[in-house]
Amino acid sequence: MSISSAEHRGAEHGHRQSILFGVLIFGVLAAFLVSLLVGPSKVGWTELIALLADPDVAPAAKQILIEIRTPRALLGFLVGGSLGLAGAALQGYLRNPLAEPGLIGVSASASLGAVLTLHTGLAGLFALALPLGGIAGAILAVFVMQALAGAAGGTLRLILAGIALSSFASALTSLALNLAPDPFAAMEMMFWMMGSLSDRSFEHLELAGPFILCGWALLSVLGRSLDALTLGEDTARTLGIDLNWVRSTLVLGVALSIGAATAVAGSISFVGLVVPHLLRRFVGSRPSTLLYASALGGSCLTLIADISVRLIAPGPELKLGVLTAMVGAPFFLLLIMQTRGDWQ
Amino acid sequence: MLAAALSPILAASPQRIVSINLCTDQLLLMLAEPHKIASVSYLAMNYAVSPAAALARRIPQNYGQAEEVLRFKPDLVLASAFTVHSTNALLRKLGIPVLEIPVADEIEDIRNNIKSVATALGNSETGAKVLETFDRRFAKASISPPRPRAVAALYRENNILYGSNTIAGTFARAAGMENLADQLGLTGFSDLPLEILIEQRPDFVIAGIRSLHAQRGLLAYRNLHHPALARLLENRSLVRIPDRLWACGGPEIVDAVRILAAAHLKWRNQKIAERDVDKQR
Repeated sequence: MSISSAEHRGAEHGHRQSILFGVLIFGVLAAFLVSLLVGPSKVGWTELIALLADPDVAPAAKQILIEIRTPRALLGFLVGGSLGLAGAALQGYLRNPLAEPGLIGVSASASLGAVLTLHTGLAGLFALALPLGGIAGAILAVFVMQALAGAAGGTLRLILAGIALSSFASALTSLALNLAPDPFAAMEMMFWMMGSLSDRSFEHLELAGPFILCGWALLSVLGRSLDALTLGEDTARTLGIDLNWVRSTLVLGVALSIGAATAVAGSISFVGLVVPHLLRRFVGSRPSTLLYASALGGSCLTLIADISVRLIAPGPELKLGVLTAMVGAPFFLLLIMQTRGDWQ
Repeated sequence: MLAAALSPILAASPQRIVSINLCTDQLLLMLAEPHKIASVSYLAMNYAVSPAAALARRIPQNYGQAEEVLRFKPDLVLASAFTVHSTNALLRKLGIPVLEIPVADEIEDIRNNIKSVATALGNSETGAKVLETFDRRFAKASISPPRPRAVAALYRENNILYGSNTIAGTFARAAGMENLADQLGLTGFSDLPLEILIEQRPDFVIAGIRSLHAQRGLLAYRNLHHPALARLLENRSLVRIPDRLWACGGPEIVDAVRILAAAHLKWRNQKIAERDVDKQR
């Protein structure tokens, strides 16, 4: 291959990437805007324009747009971004295309942590207990997965351990809700297992937002190390990558973002799985680029899913996690069919 | 209870009665002689949800499972039509008479339930007395719709809006209020997104009192803790009705009617005063 053609290909690659990021950023902005315009009440774009022109517009429209839909859209952006980012980081680090916070039990464990703070009354004592509980659950789950099915464990081990951990955490969540004399236990269980963004407020955003952003910051510096890791651990080490540092940054980053996101939005599966897979072909399989692309893609997909749950069912709102699972599960099956060969 | 003790004891009148539902617990505690009550549900002595909690304190509890019920060797089991059907069917199969009491939504349902349980217990006279007292107290507490008339949203945990054909709808109507659910064309229990409530701006929001394991962080209450609802209520009224008055339709709803009627009349007088001030300007 001549140098000029390699340069040419590099330039073409860069060009494709800027198109990809342009499309993703546009998608996120558009989905965010639509998220503000869609809801069970009639408030829509006319009210939004009126509000932008004159802040003292009708109080109902103002409250609906600012206090109900804005925090919901912002949370959709943060939660989705966390799922995409964590999915790409875990897949890169474990070098396993099936790693995902939902599938490997991180989300379910974060739910458990959050439920425990709620039902022991800890969350009533100080508000930060809720996201901290979610983060603690997520940290524990990442460590358990690391021990059970680290890079050497292979796909089958990872998935089986993930199923076990997810089921166990879900069972403990149900147990905690069963033991608490809670008249709404069944509904709460459904929420923690299926996730939802309905009727969230700025309080939830203030609780989870800072932790999520810290998690993003940690995960986004992993790009170079993950690129090096594609060559194998030994090679990465000779390139000066400190694998212990990579591991602890990853664990903390995933736990902060997924733990805090789950503590306010419940467990939402498959976004972290689907998004990196959809985008991988556009970034030339470079984990570093995939990280940022997946964050944007995750936000976009979650916002679209959250818009859909408001549009699809006119009565009781569909749970967000139901929709992501309905789209994600067939995709997951497809992946399993494709990777079947690696399991022997 | 004196009247009941004096009434002729029918040979067919049951002697060991078990109730497996909170709402039938109330009827049993209200209408039966205490020594004939073998067991009531575990919720019966919970003050938060059970109007007759004081009467239930010394009575053995059950969790509504067939095996537990059998242990009391009952000759009558009271269950709600709302109770798990498999339990009722199983008990009947084992030869135990089960009286299923429908959920009371209207005043007439409350009266019918009192009558049918009193008859089954062989205590028709006690039933008649209870009914008479209820009718009198209810008529005294009720008011006809004033002018202007307030619109009320009966809005509880998990975004549940109570329609006119529910027990809460019945006590709001007796307090002269218009039900938001009617304006929206909703009946029974509907899922009302917070957005719609904010958009509709009812004069009253009527909620429960978080008494059963009330935790601020519980998701069920998120609609009631949302800042947007707090903002709506800045110049509107929130009335909290104890949960035990929503739980079952029974004579206790008179208390809810009283609370709401008082709040409604106060609101009406305020509206009239405001209107007069506007006129003077």
